Amino acid sequence: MVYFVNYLKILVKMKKFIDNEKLKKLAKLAKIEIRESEIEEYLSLLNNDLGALEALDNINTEGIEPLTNPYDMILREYPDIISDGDKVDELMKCTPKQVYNYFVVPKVIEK
Amino acid sequence: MDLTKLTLLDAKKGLEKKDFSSSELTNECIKNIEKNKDLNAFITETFDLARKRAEVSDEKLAKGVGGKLEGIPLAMKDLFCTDGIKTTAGSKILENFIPPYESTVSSLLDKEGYVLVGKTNMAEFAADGTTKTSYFGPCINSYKSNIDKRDLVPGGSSGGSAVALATNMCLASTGSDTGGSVRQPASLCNLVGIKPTYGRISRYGMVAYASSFDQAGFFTKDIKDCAYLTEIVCGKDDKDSTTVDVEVPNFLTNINSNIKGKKIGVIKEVNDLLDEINPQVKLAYLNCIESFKNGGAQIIEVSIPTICMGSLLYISLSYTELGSNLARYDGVRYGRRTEENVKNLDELYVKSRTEGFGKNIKKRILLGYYLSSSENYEKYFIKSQKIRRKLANEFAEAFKKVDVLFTPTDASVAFPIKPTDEESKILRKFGTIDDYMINPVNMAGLPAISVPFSFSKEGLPIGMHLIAKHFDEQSLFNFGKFIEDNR
Repeated sequence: MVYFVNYLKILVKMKKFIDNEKLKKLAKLAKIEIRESEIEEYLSLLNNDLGALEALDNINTEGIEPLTNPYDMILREYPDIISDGDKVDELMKCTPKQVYNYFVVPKVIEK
Repeated sequence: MDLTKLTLLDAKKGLEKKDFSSSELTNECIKNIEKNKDLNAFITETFDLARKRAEVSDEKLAKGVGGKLEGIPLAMKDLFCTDGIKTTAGSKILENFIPPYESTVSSLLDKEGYVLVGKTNMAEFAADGTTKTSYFGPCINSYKSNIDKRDLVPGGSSGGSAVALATNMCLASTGSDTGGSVRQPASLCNLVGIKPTYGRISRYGMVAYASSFDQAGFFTKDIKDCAYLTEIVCGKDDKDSTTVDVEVPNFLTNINSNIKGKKIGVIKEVNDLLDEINPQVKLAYLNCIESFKNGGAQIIEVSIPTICMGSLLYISLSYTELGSNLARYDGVRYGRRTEENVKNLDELYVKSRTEGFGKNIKKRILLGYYLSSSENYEKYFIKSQKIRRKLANEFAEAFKKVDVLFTPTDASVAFPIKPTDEESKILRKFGTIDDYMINPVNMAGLPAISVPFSFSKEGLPIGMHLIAKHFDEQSLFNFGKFIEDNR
């Protein structure tokens, strides 16, 4: 109950974790364009969530190892054999543009 | 007789006894799809294919050589890749993606002779609890309040699959559950909805949201259908290294709804919030506990303090995994590419992704990138993984004392697609409480089920939620059957 109340309080507080500049940097990394008219809305959405995440600090995790999957499962290794189904033509049909089974993209190297 | 109202197992019996044909059953389901188009349950209909497949099934059934699902019409959530059939994950960026391969789940169902009637509407990349964020428009709940005629959400992300079954467009449907995406819509649409143990069912060919949480599941009309279907798709798959090689019991024949002497855990931290949830859901929950007691079970209160972090762990871990998983959509190899003239490769990526993703997805990707950046990684991601272990340990402790855990599935009944500002405030509160009950299950990889229990005075469904130990789906079916028989 205490955590629940804290969570609601934090939601109201709205600290600014991400500013305009940081948002632009994140968008650049994520290869997403945020229009000027959208900036305020995204800032509000992201800072809202980050405000709530401050409550993670309330939990004592001393001496606890991170859990990367639900129950420490050990992943099997795949046998080292090609098993891609040999479907080059079918897979290439999924690309928006191709020539001779190569993906076609705009120029990468500038003059 | 309306064939589409039959349970899957009754329809199977009818088909085997030749009381009716798969073609008849399939056509009746198709009629229901056409009659209810306004609910927007499907993204892609596969009627021609379904009719052909039903004819093949009828021939097999005539010879008595059908599979376990021979001639049964099912609907697939549109994130299971189906060879040669469009698979969109509810996103514009995959609006024309036709996979050249089959998901393991759909291929196992196909092997048993199912008839695919279509691919169902869903929240974009399964990342929303309302199905409002689908690029193909919101899906609408077939249930309406008897005092307020506004359209209601079916829940999500697997909203289309829930509505398709609730309106008898199919006899069962598939879903996926990353943070409640099967159980919550099941509760809001009066259906049984299961999320099996992480690792029970292959995720191969499922469009990924958060890979360490995602799990395939089913919507069915009753517990027996659910047990039957779950058994068919469980098992180790060489194509998914997170599937676990453990015995798959015969869930259906093992169902035993005698709960006498069994221990049912109720969660202190959920009970503390009971006055905050919809009073009718609270009443249903308390009534269900009474019926457990009448059935001879012992009710034990357990404490899982870290359960309160469910919604925060969901944000920090699943958004980070989403950001990473969705990096693959580049407009180059598959998926939609911008039609604008672009100067270079970087602009191609940016334009394709900006046009292809909806606002909710962009927000989650951006936050995921922030949380996993080098300066924030320890503070958010690693910290959350540690809390995740703490939560998983607390569940494990609880299961030393009880056979199953019990909560309401959802803090409320289905709510309006367009809520008022006042309603939005209440919904945010309910959403936080839902996250106490639903999300933590995915954090710990546990199996859980939502079972229909009662209706609110407005006529809206209320579901109850059972959580079991890893790989103990059998307990979900056993206790779920008790709830089903005592509602």
